Amino acid sequence: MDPDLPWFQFSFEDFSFAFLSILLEGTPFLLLGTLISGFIDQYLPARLMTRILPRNPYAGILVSGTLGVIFPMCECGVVPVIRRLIAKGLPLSYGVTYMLAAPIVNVIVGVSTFAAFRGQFPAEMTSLRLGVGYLVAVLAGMAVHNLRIDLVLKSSVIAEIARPGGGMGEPSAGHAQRLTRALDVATRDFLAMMVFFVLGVAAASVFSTAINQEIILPLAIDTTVATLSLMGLAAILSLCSTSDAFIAATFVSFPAVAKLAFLVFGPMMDLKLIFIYSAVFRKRFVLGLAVGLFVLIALICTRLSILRL
Amino acid sequence: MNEVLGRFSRAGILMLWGTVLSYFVFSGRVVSYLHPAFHWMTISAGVVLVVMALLVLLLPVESDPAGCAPTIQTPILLRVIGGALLVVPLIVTVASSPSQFGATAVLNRGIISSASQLPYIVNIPDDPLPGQAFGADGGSVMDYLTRNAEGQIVTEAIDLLYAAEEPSMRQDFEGQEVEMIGQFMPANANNPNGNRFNLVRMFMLCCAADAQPLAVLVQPQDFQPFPNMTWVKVSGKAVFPLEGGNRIAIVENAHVEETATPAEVFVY
Repeated sequence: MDPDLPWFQFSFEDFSFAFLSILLEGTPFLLLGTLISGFIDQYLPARLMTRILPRNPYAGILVSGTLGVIFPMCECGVVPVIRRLIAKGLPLSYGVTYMLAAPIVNVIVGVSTFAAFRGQFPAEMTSLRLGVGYLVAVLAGMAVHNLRIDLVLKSSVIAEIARPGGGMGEPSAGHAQRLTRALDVATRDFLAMMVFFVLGVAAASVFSTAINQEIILPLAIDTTVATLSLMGLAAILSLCSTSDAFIAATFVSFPAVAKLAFLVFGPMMDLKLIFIYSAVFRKRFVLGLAVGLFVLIALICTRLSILRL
Repeated sequence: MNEVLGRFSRAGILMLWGTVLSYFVFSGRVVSYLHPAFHWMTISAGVVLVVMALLVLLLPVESDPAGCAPTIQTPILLRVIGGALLVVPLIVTVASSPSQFGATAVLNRGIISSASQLPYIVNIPDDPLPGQAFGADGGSVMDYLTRNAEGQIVTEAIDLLYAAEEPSMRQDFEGQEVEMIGQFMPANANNPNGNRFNLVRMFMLCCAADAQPLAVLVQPQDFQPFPNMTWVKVSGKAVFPLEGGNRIAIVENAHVEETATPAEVFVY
């Protein structure tokens, strides 16, 4: 490590370059999510999800954790979608489970993780990432099942659920009218989410360009410290789940379980997600979710060090 | 009146974002920001946002018969702040972004000087199986590289980093005259006499935010420092000595001259 290099050095040019690159990459995914949310609002019959998914809450949570295989969404796009689904009657615990699992438990992430870890136990790392991601999402969903809805959701979102039909979609409305309304909902959701996305991207850009990242290298020696450090780094870097494995694979001095924690925690909770979640959930819940996920994933991953990958 | 203002401001913000995304693709600036695999998504989103902006203007939504607004109701001040957050940072960064990283980001990220720190090249065997490495069955990395008018191999820093790790590839490059471009940065390691510098290229996986600086050492005939991150063209002999227990890539006896910024500032 260069001893002359300070731990923090900010350049506005570097910040603006990183900031724009994440916006250019992430905006299409967020737009896709909000377009889907608009169509869900107008075309998905209220309570359909509850009729399709198992009535038993625990079975429903287990199934919700696998929905990403059929409906893959990245972590930015999934938030507006689950907001609409919850407004349409999807139980909150199912929604949270899907929200946390879908960015990890899907084919795209499986393939990218396998490719990125070529030469570093790719099958084991991919299976563990999807498996631990699923397990954590299900456990989080079960925890949310026991919480009152007003402790989890913002009052404005609860108001949407309380409305007849959970949205504006009226079966009697004409096709053109419903399309226009779907567009209106998508537009408003997009703008609401983008405010939080921009704030999160700004924070991630400061950290990814202004912090001397070599300060984390001495942390690689101890498994527990390495795991906690990479989870913190995942939260700061705010990478997309489809590409974060390529970054994780380069941390060659870190133990495999620390990289696994990076790959599971990042898509569930990072700086930009804290802001995006805040558009739907109460601040206290977001904070509790962040702490809970951090502790749970750290515990699981450090226990997995017995596998000696 | 408020609804009309709201409609116009929503359409304006969507139009701004759609225009910016489209501009980056059509102007070619996007190559400095995103991996080519993502370009079609950016232009698609840009076009969709422009269309959405026009539709918001042309197709006013009828008032909701249920008497409820479709999404989050926020006070006017928060709406103004939210609108400003969606407009001001975008305009300021588009106007000020240099489309490449400066020395601060490169130093903060740490320069990679070994291919083992890159994706796709982990655990290279010392003795690859027959047919699994360049040169093992008559094929050579040289078959894939071009030469300039002086007969020097036109290559990239990343090729020499790989060659330092892979014996048969190293054999192909050892002692060969090479030409490459990159950005000047001082060398703080493997530079005992202070007459070497790092030739840096940024290696992008998905977007510039995840790019990693990688570098080979250059030992010029006559060392003259340039300002940090100046684009230079280097031509000299590729060698791979063992220093400090590691095999490193050096372009020695090099001629160095300042050059124009290339069309693609990243390697993928």
